Amino acid sequence: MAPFTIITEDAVTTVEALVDGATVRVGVDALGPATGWTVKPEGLCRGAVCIPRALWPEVLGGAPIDLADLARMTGQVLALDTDERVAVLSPGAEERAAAMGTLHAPDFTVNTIDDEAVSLADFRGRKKLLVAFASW
Amino acid sequence: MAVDEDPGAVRPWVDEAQATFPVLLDRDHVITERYSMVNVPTVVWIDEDDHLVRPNDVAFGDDQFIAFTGIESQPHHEALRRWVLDGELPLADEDAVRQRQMPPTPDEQLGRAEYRLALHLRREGRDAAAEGHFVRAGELAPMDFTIRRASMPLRGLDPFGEPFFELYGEWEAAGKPYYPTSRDEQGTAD
Repeated sequence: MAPFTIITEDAVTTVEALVDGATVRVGVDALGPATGWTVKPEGLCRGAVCIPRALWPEVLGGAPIDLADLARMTGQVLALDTDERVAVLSPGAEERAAAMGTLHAPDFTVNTIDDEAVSLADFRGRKKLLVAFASW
Repeated sequence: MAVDEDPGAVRPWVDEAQATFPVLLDRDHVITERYSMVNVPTVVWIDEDDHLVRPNDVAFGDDQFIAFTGIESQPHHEALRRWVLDGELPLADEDAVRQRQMPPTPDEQLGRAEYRLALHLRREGRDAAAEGHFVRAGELAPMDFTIRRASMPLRGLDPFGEPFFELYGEWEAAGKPYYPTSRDEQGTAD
């Protein structure tokens, strides 16, 4: 076990992980803080959503979990650099498409160029024009 | 919002425009990913209840690049005013909104994850490792300019020079894929 950085849309966390070739395994206790998914008696859970234990009995048996299995189970994509010991877990295409179809504008909290946090939710009750531009 | 890494690269534009609205710096491409933005400029209209009224589209502030883009700025400005002042919706119904959305492919989502990985490595000073992931991201999402072009200044490449011309050539050859645009409707409902 050695330090490994896991990046999600919510956080950058360092956990202990076992690297074996291209496989990265994280202990069950570290999974929640790093990925937002926690192993419970019901299964693999995040908030109100649980993936039943019965669907993945071999993965949810208590042993450290392979991040690739986690990504598969939760419909996420996994980008990995085992040499640099960094992984990124991101929403998969189905999740993104499903969210898109609700026609709800996803909330976000991002800093301004002056480092002040701004959320879409701050502007509830007003019309918003979101304009993306770039220096490139 | 600026799809940029460095606030210093963005600030001159904001200062010149004397912006009175918040200018976000989407360094981690959180909004870019969540809204499936593939290039700039992207405009999104969101109503009081955070519903998408007009999904991702391309619109310009003025006509300085019209010879290059072929897109007039005026119709979007006028449609925007009609919505803000009169409540006139730009699209007839929710199906019309959905038809104009472009859900990402699994490879495009993985490309965004690879890009995020590259950003982290670069910020940690691990440039050689970052380069591999910038390249991989571009292979997975070759028509996503928030990956291909946004990475150029981070990789020591000129986003207004030869690497951009090559990318543009690829994009042209692919049929100029971009947002399904409603500009032909000039902002009127179906």
